[in-house]
Amino acid sequence: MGTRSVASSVASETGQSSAPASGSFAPAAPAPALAISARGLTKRFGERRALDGVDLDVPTGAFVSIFGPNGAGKTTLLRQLALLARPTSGTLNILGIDALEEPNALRPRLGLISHRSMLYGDLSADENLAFYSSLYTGEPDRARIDELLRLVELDHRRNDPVRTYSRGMQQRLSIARALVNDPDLVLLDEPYSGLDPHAAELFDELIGRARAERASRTFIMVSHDLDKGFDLCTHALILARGQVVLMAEKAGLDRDAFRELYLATVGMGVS
Amino acid sequence: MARTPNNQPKARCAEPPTSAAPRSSAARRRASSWQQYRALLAKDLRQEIRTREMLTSMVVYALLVLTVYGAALAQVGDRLQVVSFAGGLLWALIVFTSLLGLNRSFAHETESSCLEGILLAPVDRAVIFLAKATANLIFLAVVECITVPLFFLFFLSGAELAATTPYIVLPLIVGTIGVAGVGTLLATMTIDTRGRDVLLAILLIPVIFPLLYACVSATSVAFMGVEGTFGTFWTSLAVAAAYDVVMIAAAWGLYEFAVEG
Amino acid sequence: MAHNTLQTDRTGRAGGALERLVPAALALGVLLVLIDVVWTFTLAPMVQGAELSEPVVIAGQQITTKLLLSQKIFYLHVPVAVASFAVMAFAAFWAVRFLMTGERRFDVWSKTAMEVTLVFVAATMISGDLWTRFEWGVWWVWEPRLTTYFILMLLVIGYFILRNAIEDPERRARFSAVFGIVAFVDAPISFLITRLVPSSIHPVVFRTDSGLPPMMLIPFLLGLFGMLLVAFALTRIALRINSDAAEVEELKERLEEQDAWRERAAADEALERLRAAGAKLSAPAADVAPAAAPDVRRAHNPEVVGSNAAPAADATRDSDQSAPSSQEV
Repeated sequence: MGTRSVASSVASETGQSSAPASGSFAPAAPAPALAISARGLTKRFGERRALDGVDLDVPTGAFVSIFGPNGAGKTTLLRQLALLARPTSGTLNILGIDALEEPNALRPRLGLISHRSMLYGDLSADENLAFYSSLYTGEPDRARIDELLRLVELDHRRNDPVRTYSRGMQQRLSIARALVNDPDLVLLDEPYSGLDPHAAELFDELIGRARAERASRTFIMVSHDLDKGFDLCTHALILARGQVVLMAEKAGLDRDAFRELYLATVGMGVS
Repeated sequence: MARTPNNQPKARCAEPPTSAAPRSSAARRRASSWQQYRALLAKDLRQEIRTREMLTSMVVYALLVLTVYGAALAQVGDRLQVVSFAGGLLWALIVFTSLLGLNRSFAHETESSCLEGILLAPVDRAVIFLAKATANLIFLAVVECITVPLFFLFFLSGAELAATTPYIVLPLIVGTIGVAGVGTLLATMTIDTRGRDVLLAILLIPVIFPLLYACVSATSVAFMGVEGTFGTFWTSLAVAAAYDVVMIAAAWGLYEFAVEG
Repeated sequence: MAHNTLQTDRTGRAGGALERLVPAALALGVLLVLIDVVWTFTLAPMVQGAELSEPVVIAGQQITTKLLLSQKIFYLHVPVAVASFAVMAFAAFWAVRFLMTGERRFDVWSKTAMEVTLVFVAATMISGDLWTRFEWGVWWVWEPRLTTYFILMLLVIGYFILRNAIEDPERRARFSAVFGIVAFVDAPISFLITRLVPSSIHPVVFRTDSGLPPMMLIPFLLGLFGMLLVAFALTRIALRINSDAAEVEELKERLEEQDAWRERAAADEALERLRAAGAKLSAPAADVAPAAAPDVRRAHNPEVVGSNAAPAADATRDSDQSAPSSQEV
């Protein structure tokens, strides 16, 4: 009963507050409480199923870490959510928009940080961000770029070619790139690979800032690093063989039991 | 209200997105396709101006091909004879140089998955194709502006050229458009494959063969300028242009499938 | 459920009545082509209709309007050209279907049709080349028909090289479909251009196809029809072989999967225990009655679900438990 009252108050609050913001692009989408709602998401080719009927509900503002053995479909799932690939069947609703029907209405609200930086080595940080920004808004959003460069602490190097950056700096800039369109849903694909511990720590901090920037921002992360993924997340998702094994709020999970479960799925192997 | 962190215990759910509302409405002003096209093209040009990788390697390669021609034609004494197949030689030069350039044109995009970054944005896939094809067209045109005069200098300087010679510009333009258009589609598909350099050649040369055939014909007619043959020039040019229209339309329509699954 | 998909994949191809016609079609086709060939050399009159645009010298031989015997290539080559192009049209059609649906079987069919196209084109290339040698005294002439065939062959070979160069089956299917369509669009243009653009050195053979006397038209039509039947039969046979191969491949995959399912069952059991333990642990933490959560979720009330976030905790697919047993069938 208590939950219901909280729910209704939240709903009314978000409904009011987001109405002016949403008017410009998404009719009747007052910040839905579910950032992602997928039913029967399947990606298959012939008999090979990379994803096999994934049902997923992710509340707005959650940080979901996706775990699973190699080939469990983690990256495939993330690519579907990033609209880089279409599922074979199933429905996918992201931020209240039917992702399969109106991908271009949704794309302005997505960001992806991967272990590949997606930056042009010969362009400066400023030029990279300006380029990506102009893909979204036509003219680069200067104020946003300045803000982001300060956020990731690369303001002093903004005019140097990205090629001269260290791996960690590139990854930081990559965060800025993913946030350039001020996304509501941020996807992270193995963001730690290639980062030394120090850079990884800094990366964590920046992700924290990206979360703090707007609390309604939802994060989905694929990671091999169980500890890091578990520390950051509010929800944990285990995939195996393209199916959801567990989707749970972290608050209710025992870390060791969770680790055991994760290791058990690794043992299941993949074809 | 704005920017104030929500203190509710269930903050992550309850946080209203108000704080970002003013900016996000500004940020979500959608870019037009034309603006995106310009941004994509400007990015390619800026990058090339900075590194000159593609242009340098293409020009140097063209010089090498010209050197090979020099050896190959060393025993041909008669300049007039060279004129009769100069059109073919010129186009062979252009095709081989283009192959090199097209292969390089996606190097920056794949180096750190930048193409994916572009695909994330709400950009029509056909716009990506057009921007890339335009960039390739510009680079090929620049290289031709350097190599075609060199070709004349090396092989046709002593020959008597027909008055119609300047007309070769037309098949050069039509042919380069076709090569850039079809080449961009095929290069997109071959970037991530094993042995991509050879693969692009294997796919591109048969596909552009009709265009090549027509352009060589038109160029040769213009070079020789024989009385009464100029009708052939226009026929060749017309079919080459028809090829451009059909194949670029096909590439435009199919591009979506070359970039995402 | 996986089984059902497979079933439709196969029956979708091996339609019963049509399949029984295949051997008959093959036999009839071969017969018709044979009649065509015999007719060509016995009954068909020598040609007046073939002439050259101008007298030319090829390999030291003066060729004018005297292309009499070599014209007979027309009876065999044109049917083969039409047939191979018809098969290629199917390859392109299935490529389009694949791009529209993303179903693997269309990729298999498209590839199969391309294989048949390659066989036809290669056979014609060789026979045509021998003919060229015999009649014109040279091994190769850049004559429109031969050129087109040569390009067609390169395109089809390119198609298979592209296939081999890509590991990921989905991407391979997608890219080869794109290239198959491009090749199909390109081939007729190639034919048109080599015909429309006269080359200065080689003869252009003008034909007046509409004005064929019956003695020439009949064998030509017989050959055409026969060749189309042969093409049809070959394509069907190849399709069956390829579909069977694909099916064997998938059965193999499924067998491996069944082995894995046993481990899966064990893991599921462990998972159940863990989940039960987890539920006990998390019960006090989340100020929500766990039992209420799944109901809320099923009610598809996203606002309520999102606001308390706990229901997602039990989002494991319901079908997980039943899936292994249904797989045993």
